[in-house]
Amino acid sequence: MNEFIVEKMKWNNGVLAIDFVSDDEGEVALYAQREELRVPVEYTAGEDGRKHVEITFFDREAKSIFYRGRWRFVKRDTLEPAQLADDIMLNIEDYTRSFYSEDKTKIVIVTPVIMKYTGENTDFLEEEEEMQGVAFEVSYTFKYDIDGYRRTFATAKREANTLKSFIIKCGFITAKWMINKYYLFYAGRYKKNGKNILIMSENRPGIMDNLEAIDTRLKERGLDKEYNISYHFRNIFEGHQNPFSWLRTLRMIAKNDYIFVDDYAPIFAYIDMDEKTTLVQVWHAGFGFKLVGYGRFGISGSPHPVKSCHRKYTYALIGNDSLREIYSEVFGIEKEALLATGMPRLEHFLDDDNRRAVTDAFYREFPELEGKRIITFAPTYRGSNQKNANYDFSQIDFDRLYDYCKRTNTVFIIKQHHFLREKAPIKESQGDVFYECSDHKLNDIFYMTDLLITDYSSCFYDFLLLGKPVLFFTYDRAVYSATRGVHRPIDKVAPGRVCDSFDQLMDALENEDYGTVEAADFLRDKCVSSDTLASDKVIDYVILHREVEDI
Amino acid sequence: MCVINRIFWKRTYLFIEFSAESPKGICLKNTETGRMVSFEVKKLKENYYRAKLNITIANGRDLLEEGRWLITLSDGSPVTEYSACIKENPYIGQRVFRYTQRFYSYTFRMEFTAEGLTVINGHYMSVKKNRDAEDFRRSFFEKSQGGAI
Repeated sequence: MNEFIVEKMKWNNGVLAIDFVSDDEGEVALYAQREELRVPVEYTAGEDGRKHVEITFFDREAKSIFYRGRWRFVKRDTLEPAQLADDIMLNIEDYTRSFYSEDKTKIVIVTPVIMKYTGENTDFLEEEEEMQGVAFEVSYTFKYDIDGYRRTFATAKREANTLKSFIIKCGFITAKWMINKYYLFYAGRYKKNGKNILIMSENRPGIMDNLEAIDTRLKERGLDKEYNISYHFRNIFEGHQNPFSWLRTLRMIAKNDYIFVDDYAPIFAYIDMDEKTTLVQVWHAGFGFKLVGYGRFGISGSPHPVKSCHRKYTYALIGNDSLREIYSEVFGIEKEALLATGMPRLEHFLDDDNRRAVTDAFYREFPELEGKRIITFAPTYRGSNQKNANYDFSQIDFDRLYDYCKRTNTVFIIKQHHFLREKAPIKESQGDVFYECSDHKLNDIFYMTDLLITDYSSCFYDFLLLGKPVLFFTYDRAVYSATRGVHRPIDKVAPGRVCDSFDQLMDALENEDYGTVEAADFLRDKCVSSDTLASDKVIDYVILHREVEDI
Repeated sequence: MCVINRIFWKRTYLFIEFSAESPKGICLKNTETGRMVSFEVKKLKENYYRAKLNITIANGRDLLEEGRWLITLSDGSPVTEYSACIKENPYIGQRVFRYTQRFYSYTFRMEFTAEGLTVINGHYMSVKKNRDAEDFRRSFFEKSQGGAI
């Protein structure tokens, strides 16, 4: 691929000036893939080797507006897309411009976006790809009143491009209406007596982590005899869900007084929750760099401003007080609704008995690993959801890593995110070094792990409790930040060395240069500093309505 | 005296940096309803402060409601002093948040009025069909008197 990089962009009224470098003299153009239109753009060459173009998207004097659509900045002949320099990518939102009509009822919005280069899918890139390009999205918009706005078949018609998308949208609108009606019917039918607890997840097949810890503690305290505890687990993101499964879920939600849910559960977005029901989100992540929930508001994968399940939580658990602001942003709820209990799943994490039992079981399963140094590689997925989740293993030179591991008596355990179904591409001949343990619990593997390599995932939060080093392998840091978004710059707050390339990662490994960054306050879970179990705090405060200090 | 030196966005946070001899509270005051929304203020250095507001929870569990908002001190009096770089930047405070498959937009812009710097926010929906786009282009300048915003 030839070099073709946008190094500078600057708006002057409705004109966008672009400085770019290109290693050939070919012409450039704006290209609309869907319409297959190419608009040539003339450039001038500067003395510094940069080329300069000016694109008029909006000219009030001439009453001219650029055509709507997504216009890729490409080489005219080959359609090779321009890449964005990292510093532009990291601040891409600052390059959006809005041009208002005189009466402010209409706006022309020009937004630079990062898109896939090839393929029919022109959706916005949300993961690292071999090749991305910059496009300028020109949108024509007009004002509407969100408070008085209801999505109907008429609005679906306005939103839809095709008959098929219109039918799908109408189907969604009808389904959501029916879901709420069904819930309200059962919520009115079941009388709340404060004795019913539901433990559920909409994207996990069974009980685990924080839910499991709370459930265990409920039983240890004998509260299962006093309260009816129900369980409901399904993964709505995997395969088609039977309508009866939805109806059953709704009935269970309607019936229970206290609902503990882990992770994203969109069903709560569709229903008007009974005020007597207490909904508690026991979010699995302590702290991760990747943006979730309302942290992504306005960018790709944004939640709806009003109708999001996150807004419905009565309470949500967080790891410590310093995370209050972050999770208030994530869930779009007030800080007071966040209970800084610590993560219940971590309350026995440092117990010697637990550690010994897990370690013994592990070495019974893998006796050949005893006495070897263990590196665990646990990156998060790329992609916008469970269906298109992926990880680009081509970023890793497995042969080089294999040599390093052989020299240092190390084994390399790969633990992929549970969204990923494909195995890592490990050669059979290298099976003595590379182990894929994606079906094992990551926190169990941590006990044997000497060094963790991760990226934007929250898994390092738990690992830090063991006081062992972490490396952050972020080969796509700028693209990831621009498309998925990060809470805090990873290079500023990561408690370990940040490696932006495989070479840097190998350098860190070879030189044992893991960085010396102190873990910030928000990375220390409260479970290690509190005498009271996190699950007890949750049970006492939420179910037994007792005063609990320090949450 | 309070002088606003810098206005910028980071994700859903609106930041306002200002210099003042003593700590000041910064608010948005709705010009119609009079509702005041407070920023969190943090001291950055001597006589220099940063105020921030998360617009996704500026109205309880809701977005900052649409309307016109004057930037004021906590007593409701408008801030009248601004640095030159704010006064001369016609795009100051612009932000667009896209939602529901980018079909809808929640937008912010700022303009100087007789009272002071006013934040104007609202919801917009996209034109999706070519026929509607032509109507949009034709009608966009109908009431315009010219001059860039």
